[in-house]
Amino acid sequence: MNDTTRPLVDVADLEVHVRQGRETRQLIRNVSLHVQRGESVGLVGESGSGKSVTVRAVLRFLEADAIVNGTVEFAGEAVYDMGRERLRRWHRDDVAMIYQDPRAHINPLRTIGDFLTEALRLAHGTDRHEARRRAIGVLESVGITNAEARMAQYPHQLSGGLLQRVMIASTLVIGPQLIVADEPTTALDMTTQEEVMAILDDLRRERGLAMIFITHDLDLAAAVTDRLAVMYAGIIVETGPSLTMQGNAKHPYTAALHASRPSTVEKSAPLAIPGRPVAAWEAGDGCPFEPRCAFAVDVCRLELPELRAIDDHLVACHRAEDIADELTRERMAHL
Amino acid sequence: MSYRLRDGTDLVALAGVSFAVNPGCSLAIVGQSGSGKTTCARIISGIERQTSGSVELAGHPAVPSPRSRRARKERAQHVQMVFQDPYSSLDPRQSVRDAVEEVIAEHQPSTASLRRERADELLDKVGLDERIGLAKPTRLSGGQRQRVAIAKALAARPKLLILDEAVAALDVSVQAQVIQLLSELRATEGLTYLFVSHDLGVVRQVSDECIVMHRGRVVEAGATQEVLDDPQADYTRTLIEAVPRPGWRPRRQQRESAQ
Repeated sequence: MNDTTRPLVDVADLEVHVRQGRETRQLIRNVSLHVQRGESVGLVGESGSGKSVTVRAVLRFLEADAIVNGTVEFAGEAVYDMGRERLRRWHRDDVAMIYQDPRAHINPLRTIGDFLTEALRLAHGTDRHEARRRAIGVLESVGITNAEARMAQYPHQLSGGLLQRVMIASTLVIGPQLIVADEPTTALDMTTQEEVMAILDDLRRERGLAMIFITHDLDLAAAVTDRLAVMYAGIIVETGPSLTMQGNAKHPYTAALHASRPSTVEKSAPLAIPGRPVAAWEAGDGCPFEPRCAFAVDVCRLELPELRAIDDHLVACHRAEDIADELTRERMAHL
Repeated sequence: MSYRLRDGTDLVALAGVSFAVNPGCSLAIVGQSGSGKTTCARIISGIERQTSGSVELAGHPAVPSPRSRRARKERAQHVQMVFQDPYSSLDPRQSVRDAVEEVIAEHQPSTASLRRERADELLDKVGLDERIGLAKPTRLSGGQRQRVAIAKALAARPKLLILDEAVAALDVSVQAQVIQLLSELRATEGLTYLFVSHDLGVVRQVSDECIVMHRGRVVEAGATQEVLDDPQADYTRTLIEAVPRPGWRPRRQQRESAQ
């Protein structure tokens, strides 16, 4: 199981449908994605893009009536073939999730100390003193200086930034191989976001953890990940190295997403993309971005483009080669 | 501005804050949560009453937190506010056009047909067509709802529009549309903006001048370009450095364990 050549997470042809009333709605179509050990992958998209549903499907966290097709493998093991007991152990020991709102995922009636030591004591039979020592250790590793005192406090006594650090600490107590962070800093102030991201980034590197980082913020994702996957209407439209994703976007949506962000360094009107983002079930047969795309031609409306390799990117656009020069020109004009 | 806490002590939310917005200008109040930026906006709009100090609107002293219907109406014709989440200010059972007409009826006595005409004109101005005018707010996307909130605010014919994180909750691609709309409206309607925001990218694009607030005080004020390009206060510098941008790496600061 410790085969280091194959990816830690390997998702192939993932599709997710959910029931809404009498209808069945598709949220994810044909998503393939892999994460190597120690690698950090950013999943970037707007509302309805399916980024959160994708990771919930990967972790097998979706409601029981969701229909999931395709395969998800973790260290070579098929996640959807795991029995109940195996799944429970996998969730407990190997993967961890950090959410946008830590307050919604922590018991307000228990102390921080109880929260951090619970899994160790109940599941691993660690004795009270050892569990406490480990909990204080992880609190210190996320930069909480008076860890002893924090252990006795309740969640409401901590600020949002501090509580998010406690959540990060809690994922480290057991020592998972994969951390999934779903907009972990969106609800935080900018300066707190920087602190929390720096901590997450340091810990991940020190411990060689793999991470899937979900965000709507392209700049933030680019700064803390190795590779980016941009999602739109339930498909991945482009993947590539984080370093070149913004400067060298090959999909019109990635380029437009970059250009529509108000610049922090220069006064130049952000370029609006007409229309609004859609979900997979609202999109037609063709490229889901076609109705909003300045480069769309007939084939875009009719056929869903597949991901194909261009340089070191994978791009799902019929016209990626034709429009490369134009995207570059636009980028220069926007800078 | 201070609040009396339950234990009898006073929490000072704003201390010695002074600033002016010139007609037709767009001023941004920048700060993080707890900085007092929203409290400032709420005092100007009359929602909140200041402990001491004064607000002048168009050269006349403004009544702190007006109570009478007449005084509130008068304030509303000077100042309108658009919030981050327009959902809570829209009645789910009322069509978009009816909601706009209601505000028109409150402020300008006119006939039903004139009201309807004016409502359609306002909706057109914010980029919403007739079909959306007949829809209920629940059917609308976030961007469309924010356009409705702007149309409703304009229906009172205010001179000053206070935008409290008005584009913060929108998807990036939609946010750019609303920013564009706001800059067009400022020119065509001759509006003055007070833009409350934590987002320095948005602030740079929408404002001419800005004040930076920290813990209830103004730490820096000036032309937006100058403040963001050449910040003088340490706090402004910290804020600017915390914004992700190409080539940025987050840094640990080891300063916050006292929180």
